[in-house]
Amino acid sequence: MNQAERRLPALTRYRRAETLPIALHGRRIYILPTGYGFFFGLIVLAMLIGGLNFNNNPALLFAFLVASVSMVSFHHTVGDLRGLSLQSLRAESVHAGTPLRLVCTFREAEHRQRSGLVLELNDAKAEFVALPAADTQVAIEIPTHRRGYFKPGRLRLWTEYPFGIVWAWSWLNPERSFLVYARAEPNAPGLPTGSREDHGTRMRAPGEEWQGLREYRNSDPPRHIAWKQSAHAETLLVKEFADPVSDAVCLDWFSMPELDTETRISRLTAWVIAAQSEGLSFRLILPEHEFGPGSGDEFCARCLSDLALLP
Amino acid sequence: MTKSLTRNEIGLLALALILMVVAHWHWLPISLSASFIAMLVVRLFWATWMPGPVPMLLRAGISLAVLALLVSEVGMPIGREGGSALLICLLALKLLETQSRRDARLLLAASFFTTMVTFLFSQQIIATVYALFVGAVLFAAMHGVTPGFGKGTPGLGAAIRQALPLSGRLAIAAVPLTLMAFAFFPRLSSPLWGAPWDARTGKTGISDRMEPGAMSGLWNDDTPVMRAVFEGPLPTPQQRYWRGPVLWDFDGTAWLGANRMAYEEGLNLEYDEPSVLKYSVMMEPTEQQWLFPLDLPVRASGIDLRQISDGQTLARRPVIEPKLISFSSATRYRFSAELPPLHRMLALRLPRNNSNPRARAYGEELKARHGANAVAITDEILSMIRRDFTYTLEPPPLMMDRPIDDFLFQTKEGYCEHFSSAYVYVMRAAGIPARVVTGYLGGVYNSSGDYLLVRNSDAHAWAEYWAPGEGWVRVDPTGAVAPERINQGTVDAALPDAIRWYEQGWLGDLGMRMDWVSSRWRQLIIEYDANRQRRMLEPMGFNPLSTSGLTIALGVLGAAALALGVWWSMLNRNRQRPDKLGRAWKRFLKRLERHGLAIEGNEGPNHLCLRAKSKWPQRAAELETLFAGYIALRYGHGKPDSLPALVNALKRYR
Repeated sequence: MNQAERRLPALTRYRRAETLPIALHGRRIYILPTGYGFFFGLIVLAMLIGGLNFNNNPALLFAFLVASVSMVSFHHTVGDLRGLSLQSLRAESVHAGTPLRLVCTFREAEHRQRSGLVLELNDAKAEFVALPAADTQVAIEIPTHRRGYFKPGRLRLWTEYPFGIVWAWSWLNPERSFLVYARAEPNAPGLPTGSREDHGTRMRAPGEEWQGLREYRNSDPPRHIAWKQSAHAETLLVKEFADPVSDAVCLDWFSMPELDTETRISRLTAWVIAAQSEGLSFRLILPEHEFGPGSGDEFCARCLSDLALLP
Repeated sequence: MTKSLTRNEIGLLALALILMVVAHWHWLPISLSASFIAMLVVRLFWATWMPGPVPMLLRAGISLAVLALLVSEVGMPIGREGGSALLICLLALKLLETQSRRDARLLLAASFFTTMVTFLFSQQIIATVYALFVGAVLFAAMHGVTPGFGKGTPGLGAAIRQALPLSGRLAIAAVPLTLMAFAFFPRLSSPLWGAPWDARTGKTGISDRMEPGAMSGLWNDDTPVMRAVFEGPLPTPQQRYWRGPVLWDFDGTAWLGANRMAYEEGLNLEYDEPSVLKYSVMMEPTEQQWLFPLDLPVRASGIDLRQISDGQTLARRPVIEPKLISFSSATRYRFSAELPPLHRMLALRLPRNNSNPRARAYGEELKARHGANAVAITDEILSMIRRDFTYTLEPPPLMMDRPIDDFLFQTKEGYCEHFSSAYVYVMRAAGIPARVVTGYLGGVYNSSGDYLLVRNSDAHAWAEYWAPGEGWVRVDPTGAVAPERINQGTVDAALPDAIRWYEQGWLGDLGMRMDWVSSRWRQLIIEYDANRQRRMLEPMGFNPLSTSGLTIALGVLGAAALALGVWWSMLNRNRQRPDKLGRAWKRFLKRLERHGLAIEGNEGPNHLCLRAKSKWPQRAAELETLFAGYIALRYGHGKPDSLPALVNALKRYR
């Protein structure tokens, strides 16, 4: 089957990418007997021939009932998919190498429960039930290998409901892509401290002059909190330093000429992550852009995605 | 998928298999049924308490034990019974090793076939309905092992409740298509291969061997043998002798049919036409060749049969499926030809070893007194029987080496076999040719279906002697001691106070109705064949259908039936019916509308309440409580126990 689909993609709409939402209508659902279905058919055939030969009418009645139930069930197999629609695809960005958790939302609008659905993407699969008149979220984990935009590609939604003698499937090829960050270098060297200008230190001694106090914001690193002053105030207060540009950590593309491109990217990625977790303000210098100085999740996400998208 | 089965799935499989094996209970030896269930229990035990599959060694041991049991119970596993029993045992063994979904599915597909095998043994309506039910359960089990089934169902009960309604619904949806296929699927007018040869053994019933005492097993057998529909009036009870095997040879203990008679066909009869009764007999599959027409048939049609010169009627092939046969029987007749020498020799022969000397001496004494006057000799024997003998179904055992002497001069108790065999023995000793005739006597009239029902328990044996110029004359020595046997039936004659369930009260009515139902089933379903299929539409003025006509009809009507079934089974059943409160509320709003309050669908109850109050300010308080109660119950945290009061108040509002 897979062979035939690859040879004749038009046969089962194997290739075309579509915009969301994708509604599953009858013309894009395909149905074929399973291997077990062929065996089952043979058994029913044997029953029919036996009943016909001996003119054993109760046996024929039984065989006809079994065959008829199967035929009615084919419609239920298709009906299990028909009318569903894929509403949205979501995924949190991950670093290459960790699996991407793709969350698909299917909408059931016909007040029928859809059982025994399987969503499949390459080797990953997820079994689920779509409840009547509700949105159902299905998560499927896909391994990622490369940084950059990741297209999940063709998802196959299939079912053997109710009896497993036929299976119906439909290809979903949503036009969505997700950013996969570059792999962070494991055991990367520590953050460069003032690597460019070679002055300014990361650590400040207690009692050093500061510019003033201001209210705590979510992105502030805990080490900047002025605990003593906060104890007297209503809210947490943060020390604000007169932060010279040269004082920020500088993550420089050009500081490691001995490394190849990919290693540089993954080291920079590791540094960005390290800086983010320590809440440092940093600058990122890339071959064609320069970011920062800045800190916080949003700034880091921008840096990471630029790193991911480097040629 | 190679995921191994969960306990629920094994439970579903075991349940389906148990129901499947119950369909076979009427022929499968009880020990095999029990070991089948024991194997399922072992498998369930392993699925519940033990990790992993049933160990290989245990499986091998069980297999050997079961196969040994099989061979000892039904013989070699070939033929109908052996083969079916083997199939059933293999299913249980397969379940023992079933681990994967694939195994489970193969097992279920094979179970469908095994369920159908039950129709080789019984085609009755109950068996059919039960098998169809088993089919639905097997489908439910098949549903139970599909991927994604039973997500979040905690137990076996929940799994059954989830799977069975679906397969039941599909089975009902499949009924129209099934009926169309049944009616129009072209049948074979002749089989592709023959019936299994051993299909003709193993039924109880009358045979061509009679050992006084042996037939008694039939008294308790109420299964029907045949049903006879008469064109004219019913025969009188004295005429209801259904003639079966004729027994010539007596070997000292048992009477046997005469093999050499089997090749002499044709009867020379003189009969008067007005005494001829025309009737058709629906023969149950007796798996024997004998047919049982009324004494004595002169014409027959409907089946390939032959009539032997001693008055037996034999089908060419054993009756393994129900047959409809038309007979004409003369109730007053005379054998016209002389008794052939061979027949005379056979009808006079007694065992050479003189095993019953007193009976022989008695016969010789009768001969000395009456000469060749068969009527006088018969009268004397019958009057002796009438005087000294008792009719009972449980006679004392007889001496094996001289049963006739023992019966005539010692025990003097017995039933038709004893009386007829003793009578024929004495007649032969007296030099009068005589023979034993077996068959059925009587039959119960079924008014629902206007037929005479003959059961195995009506089995009977009587006698015939040869009178020169008259031919064979029927004598029923049992009638001398128990005339009511002829009028009422075997068991009533023996136990006058006994009540047969099928003759008394509402249970009797029910029994008669049941028999009528099964005879209709027989006519409509079991008897349906290629011939009737082609002529199906003749009452509506169609010509007999050809195979292509049938195929077209099947295609068109089948497609319509399938569409009907699919439409019905896909009907949206999840749409909620309004609950009690909802219904009462709806009616309440209707009443408000009738009183002149315009109600729009998009209006909430709060706003509606305001409008209603302003329209009927004098009832504002009442409306306020009703609306507030409804809002609290429907949208808020109203107490459920206030529901009945509110519903009543809503209903009372006028």
